[in-house]
Amino acid sequence: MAGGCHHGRDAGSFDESARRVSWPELEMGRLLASEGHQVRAVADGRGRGRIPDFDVCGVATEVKTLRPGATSSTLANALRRGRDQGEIVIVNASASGLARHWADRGVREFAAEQRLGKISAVRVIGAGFELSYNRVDLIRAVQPRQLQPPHIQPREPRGRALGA
Amino acid sequence: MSRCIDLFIDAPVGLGELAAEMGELTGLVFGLDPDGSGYVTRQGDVVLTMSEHDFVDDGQLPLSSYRYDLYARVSTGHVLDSPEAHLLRHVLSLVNAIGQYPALLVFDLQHIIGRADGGAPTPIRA
Repeated sequence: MAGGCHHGRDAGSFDESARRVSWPELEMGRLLASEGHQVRAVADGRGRGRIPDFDVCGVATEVKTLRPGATSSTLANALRRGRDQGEIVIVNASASGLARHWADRGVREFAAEQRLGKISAVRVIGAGFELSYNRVDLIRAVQPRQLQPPHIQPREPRGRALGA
Repeated sequence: MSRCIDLFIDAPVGLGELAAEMGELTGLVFGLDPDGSGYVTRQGDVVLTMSEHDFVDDGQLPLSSYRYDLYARVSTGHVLDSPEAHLLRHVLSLVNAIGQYPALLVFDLQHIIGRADGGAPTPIRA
């Protein structure tokens, strides 16, 4: 994950003792654990302000799932919602029908406002693609002359640190 | 993957005044959010947060037409059957009844559940 969390082929774990997770969360938790991360579901946040879904190797991680019909604006809105919930926001767009270039546009729309909140990294998992951005990427997204492409990678993120 | 329900409200008043009006309308007690970004109220396990928002329009969702967002996070269960959804539906029905402010009830920031047109201006404070 962003923040220098590398695991190589180490086995991860998924702990839902604090809160029983939903199926979509379980899917994401297993994915992160398969990458070697130590994943813990965070207890229900009712009355405790803005808290993330997961603690991933000590990093507050919020997961947003886009439903079918999502657009770049849907993704940007999801990031606006998540910016105060997690240092890392993972957007699962795999069942949304959102194409890679629209996903990238959504992240850039969000980044253009430069209201990143506590976000240090964004990861978008789509159907057949994955995008990841660290905070520098997000800041550079509004500096056209220094624009750099996002880290586009195949859909096998095992063991890779987000935004590294 | 927490779910969410949002009641977007447009009102030509400040956030504090709207919180007071919503409190009077619903019987909920709104207090300042500890982080200073808005107002928060609790009913049982349900927590609602009200603030200005910067969500953009998305297809059939004209979110920017509404200045304020009354938001609940739904962590468990079916979002539409959740206590949060029931409470916000109730708030929407009250907003609709007074006809003063347009409102839009949305879940997961993608789908409309209900709306109030705000077409019949009736002061909350008679």
